[in-house]
Amino acid sequence: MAVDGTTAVSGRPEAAASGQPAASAPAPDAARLVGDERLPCGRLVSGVWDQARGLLAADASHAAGCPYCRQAVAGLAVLDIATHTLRRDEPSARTVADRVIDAVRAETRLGRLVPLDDPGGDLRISETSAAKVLRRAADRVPGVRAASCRLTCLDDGSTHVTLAMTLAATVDEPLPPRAVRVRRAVAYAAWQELGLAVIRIDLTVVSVLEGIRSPAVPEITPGGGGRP
Amino acid sequence: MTADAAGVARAAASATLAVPGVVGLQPSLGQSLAAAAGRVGHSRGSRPAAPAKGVHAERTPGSGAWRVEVRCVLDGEHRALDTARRVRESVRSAVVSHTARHGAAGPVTVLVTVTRITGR
Repeated sequence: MAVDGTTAVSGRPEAAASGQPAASAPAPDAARLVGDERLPCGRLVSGVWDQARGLLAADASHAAGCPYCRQAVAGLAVLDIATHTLRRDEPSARTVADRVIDAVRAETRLGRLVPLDDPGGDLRISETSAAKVLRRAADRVPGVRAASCRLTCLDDGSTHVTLAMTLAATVDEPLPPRAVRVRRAVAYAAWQELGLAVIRIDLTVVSVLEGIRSPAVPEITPGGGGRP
Repeated sequence: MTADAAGVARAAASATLAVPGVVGLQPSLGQSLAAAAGRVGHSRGSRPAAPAKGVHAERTPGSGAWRVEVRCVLDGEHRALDTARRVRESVRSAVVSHTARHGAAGPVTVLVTVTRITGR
């Protein structure tokens, strides 16, 4: 990873805090923008960044082999280029803010990443997109609306996932058999539509639905041939 | 990203988009921020950068191994796991071929992340 050390200038937080104009203050350093966090390898982000820019004596053997350091430098290099481009062209603060907010929102919407059921362990799906599919499966059960859906990975090195879903339901029939149908529908969608190895499904009915009509979509049951 | 890594990323992006069920690539946060800067610069006459958005490729110093990360958007018509597997194999094949042509061959690891599934 080539890093242009000549364009990177150490940050001065006090200048930004004082509201001084950008032209009179040094450009903020990408590492300072994301905070001085410690990487899983034990190195500080700022230290890794300074090493990449040649400001500190580099531990070449560590930096070359450490995926955390290399990933941090790669990300910061992109952020550094973006920062300096924006400062050089001096777009309006509103424009910069809108674009940064849009980018960050798009990333945070993904949620956590959960493994798809592949032995290689290198296939993942965002929790948000998986939950959307699973909530939709629950919604197909008459008298049920999914409220939330959380997926949790196990720490045992497997691709197994547990699922916790909250529901709203009508009370025109007992909840236990309805919960069985929801579990079946969700389990079916998790495996057939996504490929998740869900080993447990926890359902919690958190509110009562009143006066809704059952959806016209046919309910899906395992082995029933799937959706059209 | 070095020039070699950029070429690998472009080859990986093309291979990903050729897989049935893939409807797009989703840029990383860093790429989105860079794109924001690029759009501003472009509107002011600067030349925009053209990275392979949604793909990050890097070569491990020493071992020469390639690590490629792909963030893709899938349609709802295919099983996510099956499509992700096809993406992995397609990207691996494309990268092996690309690096061999450019004298930079090495073991290839592909990480596929499904970031979004579009509606049916």
